Amino acid sequence: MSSMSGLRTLAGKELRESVVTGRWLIAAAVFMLSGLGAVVLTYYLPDLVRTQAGSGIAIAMPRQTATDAVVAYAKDLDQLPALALILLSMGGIAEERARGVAALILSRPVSAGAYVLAKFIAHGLVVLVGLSAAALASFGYVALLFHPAPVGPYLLINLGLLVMLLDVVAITLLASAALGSGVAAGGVALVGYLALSALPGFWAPLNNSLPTGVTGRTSELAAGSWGGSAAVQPLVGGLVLALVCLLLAAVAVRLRPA
Amino acid sequence: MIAAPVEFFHLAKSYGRLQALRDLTLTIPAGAVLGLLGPNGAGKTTAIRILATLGRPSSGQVTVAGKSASADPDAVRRLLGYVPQEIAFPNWMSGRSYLRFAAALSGVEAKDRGARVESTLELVGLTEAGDRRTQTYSGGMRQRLGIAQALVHEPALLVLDEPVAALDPIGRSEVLELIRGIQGKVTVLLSSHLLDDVDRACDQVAILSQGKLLAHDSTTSIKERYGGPVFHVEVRGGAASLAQRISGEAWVEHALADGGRLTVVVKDPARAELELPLAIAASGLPLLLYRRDLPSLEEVFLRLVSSSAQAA
Repeated sequence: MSSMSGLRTLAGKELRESVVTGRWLIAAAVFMLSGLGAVVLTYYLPDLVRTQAGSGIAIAMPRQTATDAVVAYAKDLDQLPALALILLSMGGIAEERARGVAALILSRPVSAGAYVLAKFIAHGLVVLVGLSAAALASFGYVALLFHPAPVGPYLLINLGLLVMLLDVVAITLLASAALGSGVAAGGVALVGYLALSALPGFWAPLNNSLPTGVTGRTSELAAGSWGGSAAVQPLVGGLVLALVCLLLAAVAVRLRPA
Repeated sequence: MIAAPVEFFHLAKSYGRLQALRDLTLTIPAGAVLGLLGPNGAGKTTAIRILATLGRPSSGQVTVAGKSASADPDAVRRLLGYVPQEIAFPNWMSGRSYLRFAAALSGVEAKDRGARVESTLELVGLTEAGDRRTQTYSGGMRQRLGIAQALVHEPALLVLDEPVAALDPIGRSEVLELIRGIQGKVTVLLSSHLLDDVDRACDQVAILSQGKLLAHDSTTSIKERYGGPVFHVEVRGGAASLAQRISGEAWVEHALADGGRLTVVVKDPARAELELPLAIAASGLPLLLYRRDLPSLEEVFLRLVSSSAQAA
């Protein structure tokens, strides 16, 4: 059997499912809220702090800059959207298997790899569209409220976020393929996401090989003191991680199709 | 596609210590409709899942038209239409769009897909409901769509795991009618608990118990071989005295009276044919009906499974 037989048909079904079930809308709303919220909150932060402090207390608050807004944007895009993606994709395989939908698909000339990859493509496109919308809108707001952020570093930050979020989707699909329920898959994926976010901070070589090597350096990136070819290894490492997760998910589906 | 023969060859499957299938060897000729019977846990679903390429055997193999389900699953999947015990479709899809999807996955060419989908919808009586979302379908409609998705690519083998269990009598009758309609064109393997339905729809029967094949033959032969004949007698007045009179005879297995009716299951049909009319005449009761029948499939099933359990 071709390792990807049925991919086109399966990807078409998954994409239609994304549209019909409103997954695109939910993701776009979460991404936009997170991105724009971070920029606007950064702009109004000095005023908020002043209001909360009361009239008798003077707090010295440095003036917020476009760099601060971009750093806040990157931090927020790495959190709520990641959780939303886990929620949206945790049942992708486990629930289809539990309901019997997977049995009808996988008893046809379809490879397990194509079945998993089709789901990844659909969720990956949701990430791409949501992130693009949030990035464009937030870039505009940064320019409006502060001054335009440098395009190159901003693109690199978003590329790091894209790879990070694709890793989250791949980890969630692996958990969904390996476990019997969507809820259990969501729990394991959450642990995976936390590990992916936190562990590289303890060991530099790992950090340099995972997307946190880019998303954790947003202040240096935004300030123009880091970037370029140094960002290649973390981005490639992140894509390799996603690929490994997808291969393992395909093996899990092949071993226990339905 | 031409109907394909199926061969289970020394098939075994164990889950840890539990042996779900033991040395199952069984041949289903091309075009036959075989009913697979067995109590819960007999190994029916395990055998079917291995045949449908959704499970792997611990040893042995299953072939469809000579292709091995474990070594060449893709080739078997192209020949196979499968209706699982619990059937579900993506809720957001209509019956028609699901059939298009199933046909595309099975490699039906785009130019033929529309016509194939429409003819299959017509076959299962879902043409008018084809554009409704599957979540609005009744249990019977879902079951019929399940059969449609298994037939849309014109498979050589149709495998149905408990296809009528969740249906009302009308739905059951429709599904059995469908199966009878494709008899000879497709090889059918039907697993069911409903023995009357298997009796009506299948020309062959295989009985599994505790993972072992107890019997396999044509429906008529299996009744003759394993059941022995049954005599139905009706007399005017009570038949209890007649039942009592013959119960101790060596040729009688058991005799059951219900008002004027008497059912006699016999061990020795030749002696019964001689002795039973004499016993009726000796009782002096006016005879209204005397008929020799084959036992029902249920009687054969119960007899085989209980003797297998006793032996174990």
